[in-house]
Amino acid sequence: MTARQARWLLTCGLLGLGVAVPALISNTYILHLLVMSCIWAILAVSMNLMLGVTGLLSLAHGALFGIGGYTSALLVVRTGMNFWPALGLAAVAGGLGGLVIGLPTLRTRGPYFVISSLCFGLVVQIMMDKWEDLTFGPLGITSIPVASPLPVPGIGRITFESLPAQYYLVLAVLILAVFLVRRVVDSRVGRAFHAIRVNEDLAEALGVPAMRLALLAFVLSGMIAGVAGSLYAMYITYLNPSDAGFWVSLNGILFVVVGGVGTVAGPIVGAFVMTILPETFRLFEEFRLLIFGLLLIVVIIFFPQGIVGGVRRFWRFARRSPERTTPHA
Amino acid sequence: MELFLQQVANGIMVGGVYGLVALGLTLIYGVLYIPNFALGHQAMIGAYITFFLVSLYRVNYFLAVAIAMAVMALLGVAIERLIFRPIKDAPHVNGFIAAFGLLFLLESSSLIAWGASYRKIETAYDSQVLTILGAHLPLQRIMVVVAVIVIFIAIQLFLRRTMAGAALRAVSQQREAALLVGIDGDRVASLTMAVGSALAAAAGGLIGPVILVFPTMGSMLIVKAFVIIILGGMGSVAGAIVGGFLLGLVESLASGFISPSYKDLYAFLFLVIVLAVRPTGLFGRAH
Repeated sequence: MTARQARWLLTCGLLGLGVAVPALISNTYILHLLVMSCIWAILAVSMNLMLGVTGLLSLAHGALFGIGGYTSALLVVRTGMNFWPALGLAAVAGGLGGLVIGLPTLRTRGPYFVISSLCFGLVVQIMMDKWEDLTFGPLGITSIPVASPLPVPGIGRITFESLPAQYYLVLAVLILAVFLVRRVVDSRVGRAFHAIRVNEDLAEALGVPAMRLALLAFVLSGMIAGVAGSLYAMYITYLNPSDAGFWVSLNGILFVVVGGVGTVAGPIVGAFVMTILPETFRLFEEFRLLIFGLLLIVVIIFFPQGIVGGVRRFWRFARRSPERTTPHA
Repeated sequence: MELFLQQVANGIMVGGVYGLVALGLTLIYGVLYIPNFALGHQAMIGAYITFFLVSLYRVNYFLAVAIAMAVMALLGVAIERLIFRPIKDAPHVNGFIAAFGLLFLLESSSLIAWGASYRKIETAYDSQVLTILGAHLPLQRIMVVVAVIVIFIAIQLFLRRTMAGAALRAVSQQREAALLVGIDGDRVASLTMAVGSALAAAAGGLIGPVILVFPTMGSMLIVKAFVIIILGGMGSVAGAIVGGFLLGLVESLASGFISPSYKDLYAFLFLVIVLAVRPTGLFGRAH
């Protein structure tokens, strides 16, 4: 069995397991955790597109997530718009947010980019807090309705009141997001992204429009983050300015780093592990942040490639393959 | 006019403190290439050390700040040795993430140890107020400005007049060449973390009596410090100092004359405007 076949089999197996979960598990709490994991995984996929593909660490993603969430929640609550067009507009708003934030910040690199993206993110969060006439201010948006029924030809109307239905919805969006990012990374544009990350000056000298491509990555990534925010608002039914905050960006980074930067499975594995694992040490609520901090340091020192990178290294070691480990997928 | 003077005086004081953190940050970045996001939290620990020395042991305030600086310098060496050195050859992003881990670690340990309540460092200078041209200036704030200037001069002397300072500058200007002539990169990194951390502790101890001391006070300090070194150009000592005063003034005048409720927004908007016009910062070279 080649590695390619093995991966294909593994992907199909996991997909099957993902689809079968509601039938196997009736515990609503576990199902709830899985829904949250899927939503965070969508955010992590978006973060991974920036960090893993272009090598830029964005601290504005919390704001993009919030922009998506606020856009769809406000449209649905204030104008009574149907959820589905609102979800589409949330993606558009996230993409626009990426464009507006990216235009000035992408002219900077390295730590400059990190901090300027953070500043833009904070501006967005402060605006959500202060612009009370539009956003309800620090009180947040309450009782956001569940997704409206979706008419599907041949099947009828799918409703989303039940937890398993919501689970399938977020799972479907996650799969779609992974597929989309995969397509981009495998395309000409994806190879150009890779060139930028490896050696930006060389790439530019060869005619790769680095700035435009980085902007494209930011817009795409913003759209996905916006969708994640919109789903989050719909599922939790409540949204406040801290949901557009710094901690959202930080969680996204954590998922990607713990899972494995620049790999397809990494952000998803990271999101699931980091959503479900903290629940198991709920007892130490007080020490949660402490454990998070230690974990982050230990992972970055000893497993800079994250869980997926570690597993891959172990797999290669076990097979004693002559193939050298590569730093990126 | 009185309001203007008052706000200028406040701006200079707060800006000087921001400048201390920014200076530490820029030195550390220059040598270790790590954007040390935890430095604001090191300042917070410095503020707590000062607070406990002053309120529990009745130590003289300035002596307490000096002790806090020494303790933080040792802690800085430990951080460099245990966390930053193992990842010195990894990509930039890893250093950033490790610093975030450290930030969580410091914030949650201080929350667990000292609780979330706000503390005030009481000093003898607090109650004395000077009136200059109609502006009321508590002696404490004037002392802060004096202390900041003394520290800036000391740092300049250290960088320009001592061998250790020269080694530090050499590594930050031309890393390979510095290592070739026999400078021990790891020792310089340790030294830099010690100096940078001491600067942060000084900032924490000095701002402590003016704003209150609490576990999350570091976050705003570090974000402002980053804004300053982006404005001033990373690695530039003068840029950090001038940028600090400039940001303090912008913030203080804008909250005095526009609206105080958006106080934290002005710094970011200022940065956004500067970056839009000059992506390399006000004083920065191309990077």
